[in-house]
Amino acid sequence: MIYNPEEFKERIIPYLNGMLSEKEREVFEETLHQNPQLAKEFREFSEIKEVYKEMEGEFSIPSSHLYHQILEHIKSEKKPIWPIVGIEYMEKTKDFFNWIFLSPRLSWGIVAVQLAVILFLLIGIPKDSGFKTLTSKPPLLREGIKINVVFDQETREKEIRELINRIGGSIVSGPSPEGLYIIEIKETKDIEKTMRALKESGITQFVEKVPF
Amino acid sequence: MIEGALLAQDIELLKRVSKGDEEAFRQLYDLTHRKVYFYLYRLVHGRQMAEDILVETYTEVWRNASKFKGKSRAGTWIIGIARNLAMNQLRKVKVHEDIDLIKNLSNGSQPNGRPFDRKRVIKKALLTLSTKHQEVLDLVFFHGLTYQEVSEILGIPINTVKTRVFYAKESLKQCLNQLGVKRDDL
Repeated sequence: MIYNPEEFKERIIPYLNGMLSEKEREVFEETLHQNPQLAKEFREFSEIKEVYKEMEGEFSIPSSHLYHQILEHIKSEKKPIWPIVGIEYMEKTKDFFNWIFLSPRLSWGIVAVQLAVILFLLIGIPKDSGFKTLTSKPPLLREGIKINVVFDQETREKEIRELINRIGGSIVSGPSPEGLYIIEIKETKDIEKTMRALKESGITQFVEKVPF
Repeated sequence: MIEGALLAQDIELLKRVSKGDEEAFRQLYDLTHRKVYFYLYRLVHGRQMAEDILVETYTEVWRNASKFKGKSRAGTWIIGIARNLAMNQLRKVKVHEDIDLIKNLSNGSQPNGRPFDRKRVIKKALLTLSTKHQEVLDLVFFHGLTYQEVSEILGIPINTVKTRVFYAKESLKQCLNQLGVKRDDL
């Protein structure tokens, strides 16, 4: 068996560098003997190889101070040499972040989270959030001044009615689940005096004029 | 098998360097610097520039040791780094090659009358080759790299490496013919 010219040429450098297997070497040498044209090609490369070998021997070695120069270079950078454990930890962290950020999983994860948030906003939030203020909506079609009032929990109905009668008012609405009453007094009444009377009654927790 | 063991050694050495082990760095330097220096010297044609780039190369090796993945031998990886740095430098500084000396050799004898030294003429002729031809011959003959390794360093396909080697040899042959070296081979 011999190599064709292309196969032979491909193997000239590996042959000269001692990289062929024993079997390949045998076939190569057989081809070399049988084909003078390829043998000429081989001689040319072989001569170049010889020249390189000679050059290697003649070649001066680089200055001995170079290594120290390299060390100085490295140290002048003031790059912190991390403790071995720290470096391993950093490498692992770096690998983890590479795995996360370079992986398509992250993109799909972000998409999934966004979808979940959108769905939650659309259907998940109850309409009645559970937070309320004691300020009521202004009642319509009434002419007097309205006051929001919350009484003490222990206050009896009788006491509430007595107080309302005393200030000359009437209950417009209430009590709400939070215990809020809206009381109306005539516009001719002195609102400040009425508010003071309510606050000083000793049975109210909250008194506020309904804003219009 | 031996190649695999050597590669494993390289990986271990670079791993130690990446952890700041100066002893491993020294070991790596001792194992590889001569070839890297030769490569640079031939590429930039100057001792000072070659030394400067060598210092820069090993500084890069120290910085980037953790990036060595063991796809090639450590020496090949370092030559790749050296090549990038040298090419950057060469773009800045145009190298003027002095070929006068080669012309003096064209009469087939040396100026001092010594007999014709064929190898010496070939060495000088090698210097007249284009950088890419000289480089590819250096890598395969001096560094003994495989086509695959040369392809990785130069960033070109293996087939291009193979054809470039043959073109480099043809180019050398032409140069020798111009110098009056008359022989069938080379």
